[in-house]
Amino acid sequence: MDVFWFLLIDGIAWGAAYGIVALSIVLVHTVTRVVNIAQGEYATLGALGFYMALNVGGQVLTMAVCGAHLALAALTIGGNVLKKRRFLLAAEWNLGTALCLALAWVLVAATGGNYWAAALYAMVLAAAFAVIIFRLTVRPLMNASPLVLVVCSIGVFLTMSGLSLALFGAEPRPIAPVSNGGVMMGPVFVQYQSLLIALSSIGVMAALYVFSERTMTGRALRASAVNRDGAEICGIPVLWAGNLSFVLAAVFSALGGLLLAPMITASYDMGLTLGLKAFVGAAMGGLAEYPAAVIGVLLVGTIESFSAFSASSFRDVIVYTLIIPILIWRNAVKPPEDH
Amino acid sequence: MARLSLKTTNRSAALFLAIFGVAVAVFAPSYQVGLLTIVGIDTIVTLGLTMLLISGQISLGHASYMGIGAYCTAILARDLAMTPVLALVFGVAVASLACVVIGSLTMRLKGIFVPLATLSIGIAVPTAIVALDWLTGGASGFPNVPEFNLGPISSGGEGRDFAAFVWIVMLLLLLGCATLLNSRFGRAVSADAAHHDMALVFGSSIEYTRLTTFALSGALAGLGGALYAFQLNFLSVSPFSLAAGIHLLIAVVLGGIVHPFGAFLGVIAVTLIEAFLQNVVARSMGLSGAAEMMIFGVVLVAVLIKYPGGIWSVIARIWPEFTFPRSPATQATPAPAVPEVQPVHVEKAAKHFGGLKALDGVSLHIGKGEIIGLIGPNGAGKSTLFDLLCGLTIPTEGSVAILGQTASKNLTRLVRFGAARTFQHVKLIDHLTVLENVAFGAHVTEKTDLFRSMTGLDRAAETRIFDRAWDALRKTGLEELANAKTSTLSMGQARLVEIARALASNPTLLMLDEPAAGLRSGEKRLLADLLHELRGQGMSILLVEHDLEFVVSCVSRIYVLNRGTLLSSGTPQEVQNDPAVIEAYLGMSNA
Amino acid sequence: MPDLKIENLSVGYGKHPVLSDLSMGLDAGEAVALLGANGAGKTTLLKAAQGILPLFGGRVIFDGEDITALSSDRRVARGMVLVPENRELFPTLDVRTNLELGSYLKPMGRHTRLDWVYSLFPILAERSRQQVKTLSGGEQQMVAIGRALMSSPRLLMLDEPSIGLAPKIIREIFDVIGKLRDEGMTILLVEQNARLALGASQRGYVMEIGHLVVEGTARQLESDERLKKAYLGMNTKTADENSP
Repeated sequence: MDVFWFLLIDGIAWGAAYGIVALSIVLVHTVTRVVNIAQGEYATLGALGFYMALNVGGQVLTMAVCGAHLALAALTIGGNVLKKRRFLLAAEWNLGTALCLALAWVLVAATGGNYWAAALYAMVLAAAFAVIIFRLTVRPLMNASPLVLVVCSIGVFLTMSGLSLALFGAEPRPIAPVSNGGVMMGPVFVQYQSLLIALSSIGVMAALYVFSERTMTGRALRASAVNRDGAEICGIPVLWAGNLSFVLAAVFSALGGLLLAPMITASYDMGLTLGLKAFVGAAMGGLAEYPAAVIGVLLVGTIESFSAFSASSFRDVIVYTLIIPILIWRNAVKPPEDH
Repeated sequence: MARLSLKTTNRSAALFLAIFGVAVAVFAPSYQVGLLTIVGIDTIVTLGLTMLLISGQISLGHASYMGIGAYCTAILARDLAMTPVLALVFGVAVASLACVVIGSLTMRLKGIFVPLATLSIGIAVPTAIVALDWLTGGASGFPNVPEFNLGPISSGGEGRDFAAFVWIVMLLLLLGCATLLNSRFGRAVSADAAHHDMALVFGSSIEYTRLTTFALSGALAGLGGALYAFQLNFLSVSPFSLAAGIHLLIAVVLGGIVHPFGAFLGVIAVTLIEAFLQNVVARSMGLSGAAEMMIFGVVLVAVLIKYPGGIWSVIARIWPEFTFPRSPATQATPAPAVPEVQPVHVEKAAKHFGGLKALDGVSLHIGKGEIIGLIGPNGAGKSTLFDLLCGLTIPTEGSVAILGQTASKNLTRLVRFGAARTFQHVKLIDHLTVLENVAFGAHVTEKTDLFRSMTGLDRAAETRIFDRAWDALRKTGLEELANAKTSTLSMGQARLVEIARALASNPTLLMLDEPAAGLRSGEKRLLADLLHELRGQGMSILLVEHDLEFVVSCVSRIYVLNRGTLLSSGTPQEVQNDPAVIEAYLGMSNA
Repeated sequence: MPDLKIENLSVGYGKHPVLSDLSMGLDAGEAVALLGANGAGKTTLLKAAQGILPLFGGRVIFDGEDITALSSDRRVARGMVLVPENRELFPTLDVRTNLELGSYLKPMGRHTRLDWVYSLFPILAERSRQQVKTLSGGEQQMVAIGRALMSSPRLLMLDEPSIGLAPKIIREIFDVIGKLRDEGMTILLVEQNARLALGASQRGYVMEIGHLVVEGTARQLESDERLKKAYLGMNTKTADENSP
C-alpha cells in the first residue's frame, strides 16, 4: 500500500511539473491556433537562464537579445514610415521587452544573483524570445493551414534547442532547490520543491482563471479564442492578443522549467521530454480547456510512475501509445474545431 | 505528342540520373559509393512521406515504419535464416501493414489531433524497439545482419553493385510515383486532399484512397529500412527515432510537397547541408550538433514562409516546360442513354435540425429533359433541399428518389446512376490543369488499381477518361483553356469548369448550385445556350440560383421556397407575378 | 459633409473580384439602405468598408481621413462598426461579457453605455448572465447590435439584421434602428427585405452583381421598377403589363 501511495504522489508531482507547460500550450493554441511543439524549449530557457543569472552571467546574451529586439523595432518603424502608417504601431512589443530584459539584468547584477531576481530575469528572457519567435514565424503564417503551423513550430523547436546547446553547452547544470528537505504526507516523503511545483501549477491555473474571467484583457483573449472574426469586429487586435498569449505562455513555461530544474538538473535537452509529456496531457483536453489539460497531465504523470514501477523499459511506450485511443475518444466526443 | 512529353521529361531526367548513379557506383571511391546508397535509401523513404503529404495526410513519426521494415527484415534474415529477398519482402509488407493499421486509426482524427497522434507513434515505436531487447538487441543494437544477395547483386564487399541496385530501384519508384500521381488514382488523391466532399460526390471513396496511400507510403518506408539494414549490417534505433522522422519531414518540405521528384531534391539538399556542416562549420567552429539543429530549424521555417512549394516549385518556375500539355482526343463519347425512371421525385420531404424545421413538406418533381429552377430568399431552405437531392443528408420525413434511388448516406453512389452536381463555392483542384480537373469528373466511369497506375498499364482507361474530358470541354467551350492552371481562371471560367467536370461523369441529371454567380452577362448567355443544348440531348437539369433574370431565361418551371415550405411553383411568368413571391422577396410593406 | 466615402473600390475573395470600381457615400446623420438580391456583393462591400477584407484597389475615407491602410480595430477606434450577417458573437461567453467586449477599445463610460444598451433592449438586461448560445435568434441579434453600440460608433453598419427572425422581433429591432437614426447616428443598412429597409432609411442604393444600378431617396426607390427587377429578374415591360 505504501508503494501505491508513493507512486501516486510521485505521479502527481511529475504531472504538476508538466502541468505548467501544458497550460501554456493550451493558452497559445486557443488564442493563435499554433500547436506549439517548441513550448518545452521555453522551460529549458527558463532553467538555463536561471542558472546563468544565479551566477551573474549573460551580459552578452542580454545585449544580443535586446539588440535583436531593437533591430526588429527599427525594421517595423521603418516599414511604418514607408507605408505612412502610425509611427510606433506594432513596435511596442519589441521595445517593451528589450527594456524589461535590460532592467531585469540590471536587477540581477545589482543584487549579485539574488534567487528571485534571477528567476525574474529567466522569465523575462523567455518572454523576449517569445516575442521574436512570434514576430518571425507566427505573424507571416497568420493564414497558413494548421499543418504548416505545426511543421513550422518543429523548425522553431530545432532552432531553439540548437541555440540552447550553443549558448549553454551540453553539460547538465545543477541548481539548488529553494529549500532542502520536505514533509511526510501520510507514509510518503515529499520534497519542498515538489510542493512548490504543485503550488505554482495551481497558482498559474488560478492566475489564468482570474485573468481570463475578471480582467478585460483576459476576456479579450478568451474572445479571440472563441471567435477570431468576432474579436476583430469588436476592435480587439487579434495579432496583439496572439503576441500576449505567446509571452504569457513563455513566462509560465520558464517558471515551470526553473522550478523543475533542481529535480532533474538543467540541460539543453530537458525541454523536449517536458514539452512532449505536457503535450500528451494537453491533447487529452483537446488543447482547448485548462482543467482538462491539468487532468490530462496528472494522468500522464500517474501512468508514467506506475508503469515505470511495473514495466520500467516500457514506460514511454505505454504513455505514448495510450494517447491514440484517448485522441480517438476525444475526436468522437468533441472534435477539435476547424478554424 | 504533347501527352508524351510529361513522361519523356521524367524519363530523360531518370535516365540521366541512372547513368550518373551507375557511373558513381562503378568508378567512385568507396566513400562516395556508400553515400550513393544512403541517398538512394533516404530518397525511397522520403518519397513515401512525400506521397503521404501530397495526399493531405501527415506523419511526424514516419521513421518508425522505416524502423519496422529494417528490424523485421534483419530479424527474419539473421535469426530465422530467411533468404534476404524474402526477408525484405516480409519487412516491406509488415511496415506497409503497420502504416495502414495506424493510418486507419488516425485518418478519422481531425485537425491538430493527426500530427499529435503521429508524433506519439514516432516516439512509441522506437522506444518499443529498445524495450523489446530479447528480439532487437535493445539499446546495444542488432549486429551481423546477413548480406543481401539477389542474382549477381550483393551488399557485401564494397557494395558497388548494391549501390547501383538501390539507385535504380529508387529511380523506378520515383518514376512510378510520378506516373501514379498523373493517373486516375493520383487525381483522386489530389481531389481528396483539396476538397474531400467533392471527391465523394464524384464517386471516389476516401477510405480507399487514403488507405492505399498509407499502404504505399509504409511500403516505401519499409523498403528503405530493409535496404538500410543490408547496407549497414548493423541496426541501432537512432535512425528510426522521432528526430529521424523530423529529418525526413525537413527533406520533404525542402524538396516540395508537389511532385515525387521533390523527395530526391530534398534528400540531396539535406545531404549537402549536412556535409557542409560537418566539413566546414564543425571544423572551424566546433559546434556541429548545435549548428546542425539551428540551421535545419531556420531553413525549415524560412522555406515554409518564403518557398512553400520547396525546391521543386523553384525549378518548375524557372523551367516552364515542366508543365505538361496534353493533346486533344480523337473521338467524341456518345451521350448516355436516358433512363426510364423519373429523374427527381421528392414527396413531402421534411428536414428538421433539432427543433428547427429547415424544410417542411416540400414536393418537387423533375421530368426527363426538363430544366427546373429552385429559388427563394435567404434562409428559405434551398441549400437544405439541394443537400437532400445530392444525398448529403437524408430527410427526416417524406421521400426523396433520385433516378430511382432512394436517399441514403452513401455519397459515392449517386454519380454511378448518372446524377452529377456543381458546387456554389467552386471546388477545383488548384495545382492541376483544367483538363485534369475535368478528367476527375470521369473517375467513376473506369476502374484501375495501384500497380497498373504506377506502371502505366492503365493507358487504355486513361485514354477513355481523357476522351470524355475533352468532350466535356468541347461542349462547354473550354478547349482553349485545357492546359491552363485552374488558379488562373476567372470566376466565370471556373464555374464552367465545374459544369464540364460534372458532364465528364456522363450524367443524365445535372444539379447546378448557383452556376451564374460571378458570371458576366455574355457568359450567362453562353451558359443558358449550353443548358438548352444539354436538355436537347435528354438531360434533366436542376438550377439553384439567385439571379432570377438568368433563371427565367433558362427554365420551364420554377419552384419558390420560403421559410422551409413551397411558396409557389409554375412557369416563370406565373411565379414572377405571384403576390406571395413579391412579398417574400421585397418584404412586408408595413413592418 | 460626407461621413463615409468609398472611392473606386475593388475587392473580392482570393483572386476573384466581387466588386470593381464601386463608389458611394453617406452623409453624417444619414440612414442609407443598400439593397439587392443575394450575391450582389452587399456583404462584401460592408466587409471591405470595415477593413476585414483586403482591397484590390480604391480608397475608403471616413470623416475626411483616408483609412484604407488601417486595420479593422483602428477603424472601430475611429467610430465605425459592423454588425455582421452571421453576428460573430462569442457563444460560450455571457451576454454582459459579449456586450462589454464591444467597448474593448473605449473603456471610458462603459457602464453608461451598457445601461443605454439595456434600455434599448430590456430583455438583454434580464439575460445578462446567460451564455449567448442559449439565447433565441432575435435575442442574439440584439446582442450583436448592442455589442456594436458599446463601441459608441458614429457610423453603424448592419448586415441583414432581419434574417431568420419572426416579424414581431424584426419590428422591435427596426424600432431601435429608427431610434438610433433619430438620435443622429449614421447608418448603413444592408437588407434583402427591401420595403422594410427603405422604411427605416432616407436614401438607398440598389446593387446588382457587383454594381450600383440605382440611387435615390427611399420614396423614389419604393416605387422604382428597377428595384423589383433587381430582386425578381423580371424585365420591366412585362412587370408593367401585369401590375395591377
